[in-house]
Amino acid sequence: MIRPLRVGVDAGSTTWKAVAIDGEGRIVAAMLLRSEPRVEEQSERALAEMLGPLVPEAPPRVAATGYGRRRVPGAVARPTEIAAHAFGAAWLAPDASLVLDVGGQDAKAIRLGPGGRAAEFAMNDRCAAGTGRFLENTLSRLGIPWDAVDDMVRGAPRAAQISSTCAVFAETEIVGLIADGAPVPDVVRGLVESLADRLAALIAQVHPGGAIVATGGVARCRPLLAAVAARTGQTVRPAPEPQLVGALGAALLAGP
Amino acid sequence: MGLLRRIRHEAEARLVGPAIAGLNAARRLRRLEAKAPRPPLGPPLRNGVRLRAIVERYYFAGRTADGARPVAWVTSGAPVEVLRPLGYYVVYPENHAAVCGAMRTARDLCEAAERAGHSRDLCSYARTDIGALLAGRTPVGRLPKPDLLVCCTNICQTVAGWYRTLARETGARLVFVDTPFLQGDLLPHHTAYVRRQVETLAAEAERVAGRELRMPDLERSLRSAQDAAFLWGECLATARARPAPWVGIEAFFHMAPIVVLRGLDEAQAYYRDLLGELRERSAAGVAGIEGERVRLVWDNLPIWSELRRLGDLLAARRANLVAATYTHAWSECADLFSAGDPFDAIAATYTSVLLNRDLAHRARGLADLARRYGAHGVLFHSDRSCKPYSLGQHGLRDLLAREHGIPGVVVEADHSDPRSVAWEAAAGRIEAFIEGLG
Amino acid sequence: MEARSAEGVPVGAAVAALPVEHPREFATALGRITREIWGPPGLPQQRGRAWLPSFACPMTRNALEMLLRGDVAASAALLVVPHTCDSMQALASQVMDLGAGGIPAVTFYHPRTLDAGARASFLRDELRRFRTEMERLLGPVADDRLAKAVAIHREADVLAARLLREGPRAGLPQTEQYAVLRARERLAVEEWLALMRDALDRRVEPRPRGAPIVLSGIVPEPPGLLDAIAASGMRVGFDDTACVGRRIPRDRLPEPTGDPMEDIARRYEALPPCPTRTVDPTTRLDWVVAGARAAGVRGALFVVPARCEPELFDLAAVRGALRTAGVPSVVVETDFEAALPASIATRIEALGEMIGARSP
Repeated sequence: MIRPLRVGVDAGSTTWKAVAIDGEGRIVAAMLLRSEPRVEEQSERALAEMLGPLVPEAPPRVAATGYGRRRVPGAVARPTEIAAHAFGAAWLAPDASLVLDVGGQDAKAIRLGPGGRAAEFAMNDRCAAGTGRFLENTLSRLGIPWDAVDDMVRGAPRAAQISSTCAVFAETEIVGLIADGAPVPDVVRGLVESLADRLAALIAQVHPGGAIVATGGVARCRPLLAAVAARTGQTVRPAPEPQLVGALGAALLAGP
Repeated sequence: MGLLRRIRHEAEARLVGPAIAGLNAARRLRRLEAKAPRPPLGPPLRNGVRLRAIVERYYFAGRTADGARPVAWVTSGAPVEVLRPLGYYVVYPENHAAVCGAMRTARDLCEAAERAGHSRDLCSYARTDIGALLAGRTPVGRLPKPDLLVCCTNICQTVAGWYRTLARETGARLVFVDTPFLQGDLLPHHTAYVRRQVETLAAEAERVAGRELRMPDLERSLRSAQDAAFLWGECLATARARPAPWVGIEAFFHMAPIVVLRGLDEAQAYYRDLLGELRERSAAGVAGIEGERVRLVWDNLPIWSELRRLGDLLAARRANLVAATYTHAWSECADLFSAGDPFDAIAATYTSVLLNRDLAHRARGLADLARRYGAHGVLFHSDRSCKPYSLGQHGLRDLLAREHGIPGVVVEADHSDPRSVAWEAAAGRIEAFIEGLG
Repeated sequence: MEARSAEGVPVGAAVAALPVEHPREFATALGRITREIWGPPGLPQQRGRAWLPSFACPMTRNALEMLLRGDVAASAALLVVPHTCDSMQALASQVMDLGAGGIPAVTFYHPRTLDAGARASFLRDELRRFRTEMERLLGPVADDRLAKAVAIHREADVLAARLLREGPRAGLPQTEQYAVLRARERLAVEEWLALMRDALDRRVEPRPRGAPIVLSGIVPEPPGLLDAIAASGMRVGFDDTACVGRRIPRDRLPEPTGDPMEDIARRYEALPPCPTRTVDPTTRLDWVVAGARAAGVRGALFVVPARCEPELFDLAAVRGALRTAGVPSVVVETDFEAALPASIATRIEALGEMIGARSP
């Protein structure tokens, strides 16, 4: 019997992601696009494009997760982002006991239970200062590309103190710091550390212990992961292709 | 209580602590004398040095108190006079949190509480203290473990949740003195209820301390609290002079003894000296702010983490906080300490405090303060961490402006968590308000 | 123009009440309906901004908005403000001292002490004061009518407890069951009783669908919350919300004494623990864990109104006690939105996935 392709779609608010797994459990295709307002149309079009060259012998089984999961046509399962990230991360890093996902709109800490199921989770989506968007926006305001952050933070002698809780206040604070002549690297380091503080607090909510695997776009920011590791006393490493973990988890949940 | 621990504690509390505090004080006094004047600020208060020594000695004595003396942790508005004659060492978690706020360690401790699942929306004093307890860290060295927790609800219901948490975490015996909020007048059933609870507190405190509370001792401790409260009131009243002889912000620090040493002779002695110094300054025409131009009243707790910047901002505009409802609250009920027998007096005093009274009472008090102190306006600190003080301030401001012609401004911040303070925004509002006063 | 009494209140009008619990028997004895002001979810905040800081909780904000719009004064003779928390206390004072809402108000103070003797005697004194205040504004409460009111409220308590205890009934989805239980917030007690009798006439569902969970918090809002629970393969097995479960005496009610005032006090004392009324550090933990065990729950959902201190203070301890008992939990925070936000719906679904009530 031919096992059909399993496809996971993660229709997030900023990016649309998909991953396909073949009958042997190998990742055979992946895709990452900017989200379009019409999830239905984008999903249909992009899936056709991604799956076309694979010439599947049986119709693929699609599972959808993410903010737009209910609007992905033909999905056999619609797991939450929490379940999808848990399954995806557990598959990629079987030794990890905790997932830290920092997306554009939210951040979540998930303690993994048996079989990759979430045993406990905490989520921040009310306050932008604890999400990837805040870091991204501020970096772009300061005109700093992502890949420069690593060297910049390493070279910063100290972290500028950013104490505001709220993203709006924090932005004013940062503008003020720069205006007062604080070196940009110090401000960037301060920014990374303030986000790390919030993420460490989120992690503490789920009774951590053991290795942490980081997912989502911000997992590329190594100084951030190092700062989280320093605060939690646990190792934190990025998942391979961290932005695709949710889609991968959905694919795993699309069928046996 | 172990004899050895008692000896060690007495030695540290009576000899080592005072010696260290004395050395520090001498050093600070030298520094103070050598300090160049910082106009428009007048010369600093000599008693500022003494105050720090008192606070240092107080916290130093606490380090070795458990096991040597009975230890109680109490809310700032608890009837501590009952505990004094029984030899308790008394910890004030609110004062401790304020110290952490002023020393800028509150953030770290709040985060420790948040990691344990306590919401960031809870009072920052509560989070600071719970965080310090859970993390085992405090800038004062060490707080002794409580044998007794005394929670009086006259300042807020927040303390009820806070002390429940302390009881769960420490396992110490928890006693409530619940003071019904006075919407209107103090009624006989209020007094009867509070009195009965104070009697229960006394019995429980006796049991924990293993000794009997003698009435003459209780009366003495009440008289001492009353004298200190009167003296503190007189210290505050010196600011009615124009210019005021001291910087009003300093009163937030100088209130420490009326909170933590209330009922002990040390508090009276301190305020007697402070009053002497203030009167001396008044007589000599020494001003807290030279060229004082604007006189303001402050409503609510201070923003501990920003007091220095607030001080600079006000001084630059020759403005002084000549009165604050918060500091005055500690002297206002002094009369009641002698109302009837000790238990009735305690019930009446502690139920009638500012934060246990309705907005009509607070409006009268504010208008009265502004009038007596010749204030030009009121700064309302809308304190995220203090709902009973803050909800209603907008209406108070409008009423004061409408009925008494006293303008006010509401500024949102927090008494101790710096993460909830947007200083630039707050400062902008205060500056604009002062400019608007002309 | 409608008739007004000598005190200027509309004749026959309802009694309005702020959350959560207060003795309702006096209003019933006076022939008045008690309408609770929780505010419709998603109420646009217009006038209230001038009165309250941004950190006031949604219950306070909604209630004040309705008061300032004049909605309350138009339909009610007076406002009862139980001393639920510092925020409700401040709201009472804004109504009584600063004229917000243009309506007379009566307060009721919940004694919060561990001193049982002091609590018992204050409660009885406070009930007498409350009665006097109600009588001053609305006219005398006759003893025989009060006795009748006590009896009918007692009957309502018994039926409500049965509805909660026996769980889902045939053809009555949980959303509707909650609508019945919450009808007390706006109906006369007789009408509420009729609704509950109808519900109890249906047979108990022998095999209810959905994994049982604890529902805790102040009020099951925003709208759609209970549907989301059901859609995620769960149902409420044990209710610990302040507006429903925490004000229905679940144990056997004390026998009537023949003195209606004493019966009101005893009924109050039989209420389950609630941080808006009680202060014991451990009773509530034991209560929730015992309820969770008895209902065989697999998870717990805490629906916490934003910035609600009484609720937030116990959250860590209650979650910890449940966790020790093997019950995982999820917290959602609500600002009383008009509809269930996607973020809350996702958390509820994730709870369902986590406890195996819903396949991911």
